Amino acid sequence: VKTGWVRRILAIVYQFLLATAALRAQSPSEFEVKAAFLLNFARFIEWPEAALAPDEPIHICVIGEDPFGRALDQLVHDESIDSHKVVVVRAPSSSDSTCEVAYFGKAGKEAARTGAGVLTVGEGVEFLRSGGMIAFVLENRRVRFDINLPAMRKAGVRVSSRLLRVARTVVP
Amino acid sequence: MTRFWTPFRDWPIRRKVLGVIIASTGLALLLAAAGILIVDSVLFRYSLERDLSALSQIIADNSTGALAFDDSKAAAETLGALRARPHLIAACIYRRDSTVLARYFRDGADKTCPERRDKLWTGYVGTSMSLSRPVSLKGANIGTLAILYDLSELNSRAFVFGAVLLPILLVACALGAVLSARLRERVSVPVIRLADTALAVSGTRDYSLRASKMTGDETGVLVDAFNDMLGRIQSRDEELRHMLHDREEANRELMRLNEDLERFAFVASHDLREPLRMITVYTQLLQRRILSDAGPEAKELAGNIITGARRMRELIDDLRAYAELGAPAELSSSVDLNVVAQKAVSNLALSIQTSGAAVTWDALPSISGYEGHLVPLFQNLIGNALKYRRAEAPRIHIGYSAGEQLQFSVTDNGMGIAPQFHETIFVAFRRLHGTEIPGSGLGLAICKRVVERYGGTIWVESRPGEGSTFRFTLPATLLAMRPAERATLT
Repeated sequence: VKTGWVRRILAIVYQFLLATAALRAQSPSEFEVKAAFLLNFARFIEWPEAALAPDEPIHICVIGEDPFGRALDQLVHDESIDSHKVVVVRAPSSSDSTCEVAYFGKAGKEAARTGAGVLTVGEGVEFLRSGGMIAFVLENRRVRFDINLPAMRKAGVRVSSRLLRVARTVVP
Repeated sequence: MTRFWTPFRDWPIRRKVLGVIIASTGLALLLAAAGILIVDSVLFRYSLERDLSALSQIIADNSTGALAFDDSKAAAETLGALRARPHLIAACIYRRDSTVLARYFRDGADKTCPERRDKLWTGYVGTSMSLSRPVSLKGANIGTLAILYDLSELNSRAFVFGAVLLPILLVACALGAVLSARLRERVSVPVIRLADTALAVSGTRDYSLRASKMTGDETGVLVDAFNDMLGRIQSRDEELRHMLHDREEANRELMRLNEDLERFAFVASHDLREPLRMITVYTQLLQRRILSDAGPEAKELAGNIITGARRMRELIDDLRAYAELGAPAELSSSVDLNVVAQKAVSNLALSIQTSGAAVTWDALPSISGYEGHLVPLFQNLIGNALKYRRAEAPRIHIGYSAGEQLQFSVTDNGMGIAPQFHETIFVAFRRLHGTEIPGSGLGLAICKRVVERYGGTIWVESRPGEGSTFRFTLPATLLAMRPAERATLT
């Protein structure tokens, strides 16, 4: 009789775990989405030759605190864009490393100090005002992004119109 | 194959030629149309595939952003552009994990997404074409675009094509038939003329008709040969007609002569009998009353007169019998030849008695005939045997045997006849002997005439000094059946 109860409870727990796992699989967490976006941004960007030589890997730098955990590494593992391998780099500041894509989490203010040929991605509309190029925004709990075109032009980073089309707003 | 052509075999040439023209024109045009249709549909399908491939490429490229950032709204907008293609039934954009990011369906279309494949693929589903194209972005596969395109356009295109082509085909055939009318005439008219002439010739038997030659081809050769043949028939026909005419003339002349002769013989024989009887009667009176006292010389002279008169009467009788053979007579009555032989013997009783002859005969049949013909036949043959005898007493036998023909023979032991005379003895008035043996010269002529009238033949087998056998045949059809025989047959 006792074992029957145990079994029933175990079955309920197991099913609950299964359900939550499925839920996680179905709707990835915010940062999992952002990690995927980060990688995809790189696919719509063309860097100047000086910034990215052929066959040179594309470095995605996470500046400061890393909110992605293992998600970004898993995603980027073995990925390449055209002939460029994709590499994740964690750095305290953008000047410490040669980055093609630089994600600023909490360290949004540093974006203005980034050199030419680096795509800067940050959080919130304020990030654009402080000179960032792409900013994640949440809209109805969906991850979307705004684009600051003048900043891109200034940095010599060219963006595909296809990316502009899926952006929430584009600052001309 | 032969069965297929049978209904057309009796068609007139005119229609056959028309049929050939229409059939060949129609067939050629039909083949051309089918060829054009096939090539068109193949080319159209090919261009459609290319077009669709290009279209899908554009859509795929345009949907990379939406796919990369999982923006179903933007993807749906991209697909919405397909509304401009009315034959596009459905299009779906799949994410990398095979879930659907965006879909588009034509109004009224079945709301199921077309099949997706991992590689670029084109396939046919019913009357539709299905296309699946991976969407790649900078070398990475980020999703799939699947499209379903309605190909019924192709069928409607074929239908329109047929609707245009069929009337053209019919008009072309009709036009070909009309335009070829003169050409057809060139081929068929000479043959038709020839056939008409042939019909006219066989209808009217006028061999002077000629077919007109219009061409130098096989028909022309035929016309020449036909005319040549007609010419030959014509000349032969004329020859034949001349010959027939001549023969008819000759026959008529001959018959007239014969009739004249027979009439003369009959009249002469009849009218000569009376004066002859008077000569005989009065000479006998003279002998009995006046010359009884006269010398033997006078008696002998008177006897000579009587003998001469008797001979003349015999001659006249023979002549009359011969003439009567030409006259029509009832031949159907049954005559017993035994009776006939008996009568002939009775008529010759005096000669038989004086010569001491013995006349015998086999059992003879009854035949259908006329006694007036048959008695002289037997009498003359027996008479000849008696007349041309040798020193010993004559023995005469009438033989008979039935075969395919009835065969009779009259055999004697007389003086015989030299072979060179075997033919001439049957000719009238031809005599081998002078006055030493009296005779009219008509006996065997009468026999020959009787036998031939009944459809038989007569000849003699004889050698001098060995006797003679006269043989004659009569057709077996003359055999009169006795009542008993008739009964067994029926």
